[in-house]
Amino acid sequence: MYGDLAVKLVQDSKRTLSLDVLPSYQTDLVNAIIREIRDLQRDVKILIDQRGPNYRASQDRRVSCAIFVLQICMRRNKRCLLAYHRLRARRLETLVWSGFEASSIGSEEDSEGATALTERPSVASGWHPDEEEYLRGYGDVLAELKGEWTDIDLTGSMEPPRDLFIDVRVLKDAGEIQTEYGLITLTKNSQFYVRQGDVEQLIQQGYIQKLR
Amino acid sequence: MGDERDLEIDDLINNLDKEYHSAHPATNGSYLTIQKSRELNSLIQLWTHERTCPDILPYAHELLDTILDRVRGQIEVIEEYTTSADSSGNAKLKVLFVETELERVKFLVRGYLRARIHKIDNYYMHILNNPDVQRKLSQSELRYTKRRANQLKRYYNLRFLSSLPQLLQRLDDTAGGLQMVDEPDLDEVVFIRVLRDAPGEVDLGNDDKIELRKGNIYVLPYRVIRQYVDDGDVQLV
Repeated sequence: MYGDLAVKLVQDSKRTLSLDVLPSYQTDLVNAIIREIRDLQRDVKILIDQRGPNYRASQDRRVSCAIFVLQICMRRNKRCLLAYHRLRARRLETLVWSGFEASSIGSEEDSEGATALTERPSVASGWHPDEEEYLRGYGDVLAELKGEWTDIDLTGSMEPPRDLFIDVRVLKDAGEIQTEYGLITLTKNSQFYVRQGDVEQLIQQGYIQKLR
Repeated sequence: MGDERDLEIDDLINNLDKEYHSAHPATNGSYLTIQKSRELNSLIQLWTHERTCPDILPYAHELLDTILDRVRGQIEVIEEYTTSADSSGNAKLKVLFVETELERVKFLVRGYLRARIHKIDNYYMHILNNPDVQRKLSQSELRYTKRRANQLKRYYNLRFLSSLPQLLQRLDDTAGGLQMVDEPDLDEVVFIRVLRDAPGEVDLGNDDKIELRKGNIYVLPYRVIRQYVDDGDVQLV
């Protein structure tokens, strides 16, 4: 029946809400819904054409009711499509805010630290290419906004700062960082007492972990 | 031991103050301190307001500019201290004070901006369709809204929108009695604290009226007290 497919899409969206990882893009389902909308549109056209050019909605209640139902089905399908894509777009945006970069798509698997970073979104399996493009596009938009607020660091931590310095543990080798107190070499499993502002980015990228 | 340490820190702060005055004899010290803490308080209030208010509030150009100037100033101070040869304990402690304070201010500004961006993301179509709302945004925010909207539209179009019948391709149609554009829900209830006795009673509809008394806290729909928030009679908490 009309709208059944869209319900499946909504169910998938619901599932997505409770998942940490963005699931595969439902290409077939989306295409099927688009097809359904076009079929409905064709039916509307046929109905109107049958009545000829002098058709007025008020004259033939039965036909106008049929058209009305078809229109509502189309709009409902569109709403479901929009909701699904909006949800996915928002998830992609969240990824960008958390420091995820589109360029790292595909390279994630071969890095040896991948298992240690289970809470990091594992990426790119089943995304649509258009979604990767949105990720990149939004990345640029956000980068420009961030560039206007360099002193503030928009993507910085949203937790109120309590201490200037924090204890951190290194989860995977991150090379050397330059701090005002000298050079620190971040090797796996080592612990440091460092300035939070110096390592914020690395925490977000999952290289190091804050200890409480 | 603890007392001793507290004392030391108090002394140091006093010393800092004195040094500041001797270094800047032209400025009226006490006035400056009051002025500074007033701005910080305004920032805190601004941040709370933006986070609790369902609507997008006008961007606080003046306050933000002042605060940002000060942030830049403090960053310079820190850089000066760290590059100078003076590495005695006192100097380091001073830098620590400045840095801690700086991080806090940065956190507030960040929270403020992020709260705004969150609303902008949700209501971008509403913003783009209403010049009145656009005036509440800063240039940078408006630019961000437009660029993001373009990206989003492109994504929707590529995925499905352009394949739909012409009639259904709009992102902001209202046909069929359904409003597609998300708008801030002005009827969302907010907590308010009354700062001054407001003239008259607030009309809650349904013949319900309420008098706002100074110092009291109320929970009301944002719509009915909106004007009072703008006038500064009440404060969102």
